[in-house]
This record gives sequence, C-alpha cells and structure tokens, in this order.
Amino acid sequence: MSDMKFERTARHAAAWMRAEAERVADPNAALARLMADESVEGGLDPALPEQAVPARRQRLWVGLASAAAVVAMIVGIVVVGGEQSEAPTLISPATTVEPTPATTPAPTTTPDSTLAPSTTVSPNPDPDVEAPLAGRGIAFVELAALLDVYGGSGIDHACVTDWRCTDLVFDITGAPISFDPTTGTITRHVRNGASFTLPSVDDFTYLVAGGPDNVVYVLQPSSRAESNDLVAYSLADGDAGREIARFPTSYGIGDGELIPSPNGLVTASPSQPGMQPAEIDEIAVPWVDRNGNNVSSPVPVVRADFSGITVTIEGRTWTFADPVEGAYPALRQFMPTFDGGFVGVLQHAADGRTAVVRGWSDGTVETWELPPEVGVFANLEPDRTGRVLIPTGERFIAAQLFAVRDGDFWTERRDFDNEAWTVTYPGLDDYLDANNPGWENDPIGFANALAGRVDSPAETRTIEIINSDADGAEIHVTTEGFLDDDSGFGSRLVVRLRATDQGYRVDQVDRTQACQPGRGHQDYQPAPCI
Amino acid sequence: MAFESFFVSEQPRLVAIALGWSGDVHAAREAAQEALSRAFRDWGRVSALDVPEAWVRRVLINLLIDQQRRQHRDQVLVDRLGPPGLVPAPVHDDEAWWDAVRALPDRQRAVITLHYLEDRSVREVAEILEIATGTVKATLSQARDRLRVMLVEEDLR
Repeated sequence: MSDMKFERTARHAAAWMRAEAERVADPNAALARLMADESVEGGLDPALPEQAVPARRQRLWVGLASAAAVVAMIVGIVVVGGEQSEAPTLISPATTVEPTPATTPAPTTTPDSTLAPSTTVSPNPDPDVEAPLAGRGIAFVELAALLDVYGGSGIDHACVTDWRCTDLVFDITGAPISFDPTTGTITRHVRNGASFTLPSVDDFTYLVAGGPDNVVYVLQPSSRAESNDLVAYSLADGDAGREIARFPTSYGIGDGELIPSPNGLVTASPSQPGMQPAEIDEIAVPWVDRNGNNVSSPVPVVRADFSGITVTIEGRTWTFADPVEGAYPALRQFMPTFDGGFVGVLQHAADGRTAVVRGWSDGTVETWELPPEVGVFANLEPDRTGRVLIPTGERFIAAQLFAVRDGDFWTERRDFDNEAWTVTYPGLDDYLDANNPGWENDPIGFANALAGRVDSPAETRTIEIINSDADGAEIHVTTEGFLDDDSGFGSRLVVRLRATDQGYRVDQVDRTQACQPGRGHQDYQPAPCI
Repeated sequence: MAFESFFVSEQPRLVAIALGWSGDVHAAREAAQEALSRAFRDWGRVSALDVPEAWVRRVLINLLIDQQRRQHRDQVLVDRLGPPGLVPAPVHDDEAWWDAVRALPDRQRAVITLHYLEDRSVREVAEILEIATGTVKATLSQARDRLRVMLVEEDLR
C-alpha cells in the first residue's frame, strides 16, 4: 500500500470513527449520570499524599527520567516505609545483562499424541458446582471436570466479577502467592507462609510478582490517578503487609508486562517484532529487600522470539513451531522449571486456541493442546515443577500434563540415616561420571534431581539457593503438602554440593521435616513426627 | 474551567478513542466515564494542569490497557463460545482499518489512535503519553509498517 493510499485510508477511518462516537456518546446523559452517582465526590482530595511534593517537581523528575531513557514508560520515586522521601530518588538503570550467547537451535520433536487429554471430558450438569462465571455463559464447570483427572492444588480460586478472579504468581523460590480479590488477601502458600489483607482493593489491583526476601509487588491505582503505583509489601511472617516501597509508574502504556529478572522487573513488549523483552537490561522496578535496599536474585532470564518460536533461558535454547499459529505473545507465560526446562502457555489472540508447551533439559519440546470443549480458560499458570495450575472458579487444579522424565531425577537407591538425619546416594558419583546429565552443572537442577519428582498435585516444591560460589553451593529443597501422610507435612533437603571439573558432586545432604497439625513440630527440624 | 463544559467537550472524543481501541460501544462509554469520573474526583488539581486534556487521555489509555489485560482471556472465551457468524466480518475499509489497529501492540495502538483519530502532532502525542518525540516517531513508523502488512493481507482474503 502506498504512503498516499495509507494516509487516505487512515484519515477516512478516523473520520468514520469520530462520527460513530458522536452517534453513541451522548455526553449530556453521561454527565447527568456522573453527577447522580453518589459514590463519586468532586473536587480536590486533601488526603492526597503526593501533594506534599509540588507537582512541578514531580514532573521534573519524571521528565529527567524520560530524558535519561531509563525506561521510556516507567519512572519512579522510591518511598521507604510508606512515606515519600524528601529527596526523590530516581530508579537507576541496573547493571547490563550480557546478551544471550548464540546457541545451536535444539531439535524439535513431534508432539506426543499419547499426551493428548481425553476428549471425553464433558460438562458437569450439576448446577451446584457452577462457578460465578456461569451466569455469563462461561462455564468453569467444564474446567472443574478436570479436577478428577489431575487433582486440586490446595489453592482456592475465587471471582468477584466475570473477569476479576484470583491472581497467582510464583516467587523466586517457586512458592505460589495468590491474591484473592474477593477479600483483598495475599497469601504465600507454604508452611507458615504469611498472608495479609490489602487496606483497599479495586478493579485494577493486581499481583505482579514475588521478589526476593519475601517481598511481593502489587499494582495499585495511584491516588494521582493518571498512573498506577507498583507497591512492594513485606510477605514475611510477623511483618506481612508492611509497605516497603512505592514506585509511581505509568506501567501500562505500550509495554504490556513486567517480567522478573535478576535485578528487578523489566518491561517486556511485543512492540518489537520477534524478541521480547526488547530491552531486558533496563530495569523498570528494582527488587528491594525488606529494608528497602536494592537487591539481586538469581532469577532465570527468559527470552522468546515469536517469529516461529525460540525460547532462551540462561543460554539454553528451544526452537519450535507455534502450535496455535499466531499465539498472543506473553512472556509471563513462560516459566523456567527446576529441571532445567520450561513450561509455556500459548494462546491465540483471536480465537482462543490454547496450547501448553513443555521444553525439556535435553532441548526437546512437547505440546499439549486443550480439548475443544474445555475451551480457553483464564490465567493458566505454569509452575516451576513443570505443572500447569488451572483455575476452575473454586480452586486451582495442579495438572501434570507431561510425563516426567526419569533422566531429570536420581531414581536409584537413596539411604536415609534416621539417627543423623542425613541422606546418601550410593552409586550417584558413578552415574554422574558415566552419564553426565545436564543437572550435574546446575545446583538447582541437581538438588531437584536428588529430591525426586513431585508426586501429588497438592504438593508444593520450593528451592532456595542459600549460598553459591566457585567452590560449591548450599541449596534447600522443600517439598510439602503430603496428602497421603497423616504424620509428616513436608520435608526439606539441605544439599551441600562441591564444584569439580566434571560438575557438582554431593558433599552432604541433611534432611528435616515438618509435621501435620497436631502431629508434632510445625517447623522444619531433624526430629520425628508422631 | 468548569468541569461540566470540560466533560461535555471531552466525552465524545474520549469515547472515540476508546471505541477505536476496543470496538465495543458499551465498554468505550464506560471507560470514558471512568476517566472523566477520576478527573472529577481530583478536579481541583487536574484543572490546574497546563493541559488537562492530556491528563484525562493518559488516564483513559491506562484504563483501556488495564481492562484489556484483564479481559483478554475471558473475551477470547466469549468470542470462542459464540455461535459461528455472531461476529460479522468487517463490512468496509474503515472497520477493517480499525480491526487492524486493534491488533497492534498497546503503544503502537495508542500512538496511531491519538495521531490519526485526534489529529495530534508527534509532540502532542509525546506529551500525552509522556514519552520522547523520537519514540513516538519510531513507534508511528513501526505501526504504519505493521498496518500496511495487515491491510494488504486483508485485501488478499
């Protein structure tokens, strides 16, 4: 199309749209409606906190931030302890992230048809189990039928309106954190996990991320109204709900999502054809610890190229055809897994066809397409164990859609010393020397391999790097929510690894456990439950 | 400036932006209403701004993006569950053009809408979105390229 024809088409379409708007707008009726709305009070709200800072000064800082090209869309003023600091502090650009080294594209495998779910999943006619969306014709009941297939995660899912339901994110350790919009409650779903209730919630409050040091990031409308604030709250036991920092941000214009990275949240935009996030080295909102200091965290960096699809995580690359041909690009939907792979959810922007993609540590890819009668569901959430959490209107189902691969775990003998509370793995070193599995070079993958697969949908696994240097690493692997054990609730492996030329090797593995309620100690101790 | 006159003058323009953005008359009217309602709540300060019109557009676009993000998957489901043929194909070039605009990434959509629908200059768009004029130019160029491709593909169907 020539420039002239394009401009003519655009101008004509604009005139047509203006005429359409004139026809439907009815400004006088709309004004009367606003004036009749008793919940809306006009005028200047004297409680607006930022009035303490002259608007002109705020605009200056905003303008400087833009000029510095920190992030064109996102600027901020750090506030610690809930009060605005006297001297606004610009969010400084974070350290540059090295570009991903070129890697050979991994081979693509044909989707395993045996993984396809049964297409006999049928709507449950029982009206008692219909979810709130049923009234609008969206039957979560169809999703609830999957509960029998996969099992519940133990995390509730609730809706205020037909499009306002529980948000779910996973923090750095892989722990699920939910925001229930019906109550305003944010909960970290682990043993002794904290929760708190936001003082106010509206339609635009939403959970963005769980960061390091038990800090959670929530998007809330700013009292300035022209933008949102990203608010960092403590989610630590005894301290939960304390506001740590507030980042005024115009997040939302243009760049669609905030993605965790080692130094904070970065913007990811589909506006650059292909690769996203476009500029992962530009930190939009830095991680803060509970004292408000900037911190880093070993968050895996995910990139995806949607022309065809190439996913790159920490130097590993998977290339595959888009299973839904025209997927809506959303980087948040790609979750690195503990076993060195990823789970991604791809959804078509127009017709809602949805597929879940599993990348394995050996570079292969499998695909699971949703049965058509189930249709699209909101907020499918992949977790770090490789499962997908499916909302039903009542609860999240934890679906292990892909057969776990033995090669990603140590499946041979393990000996438990119930006096010393240690675990040994006879034959492990020989196995590593002979087979060199990918996880022998990855402390998280190594610790995950020793802990074994997650058995039931109600189990949650978190992995925390306590320390890691050139000599070795200490990793804590916690698996909890045991349904079949009426005594133990969870177990934790304290894995100490030493680095060798061939990869990591085990120095020592200690074991602790926490008991079911009423069956002994509730924290992790090297002691039996009753 | 009296709020009432601001409202009556701006409301149809905001509805036009929102309609161009979403294509849904009801949602467009509600988004415009919410943006103006926020202006009303803080009118003492908004009216003192150099360009309150830019402020209310920024609020509107943020609302539209937030709403879109939340509704995206549900809307997809609604579209999908509807009987075939419920959503008619564009009947003329204007509708096809706006359908293509709605397929653009958020920033490109915002820039295109403000530039063409409101006849805003690059500098005005930059002020409204609080981004650099160079970014507006680059975004406009990318959006035009994408629209050209999409519209040609549409012609070929």
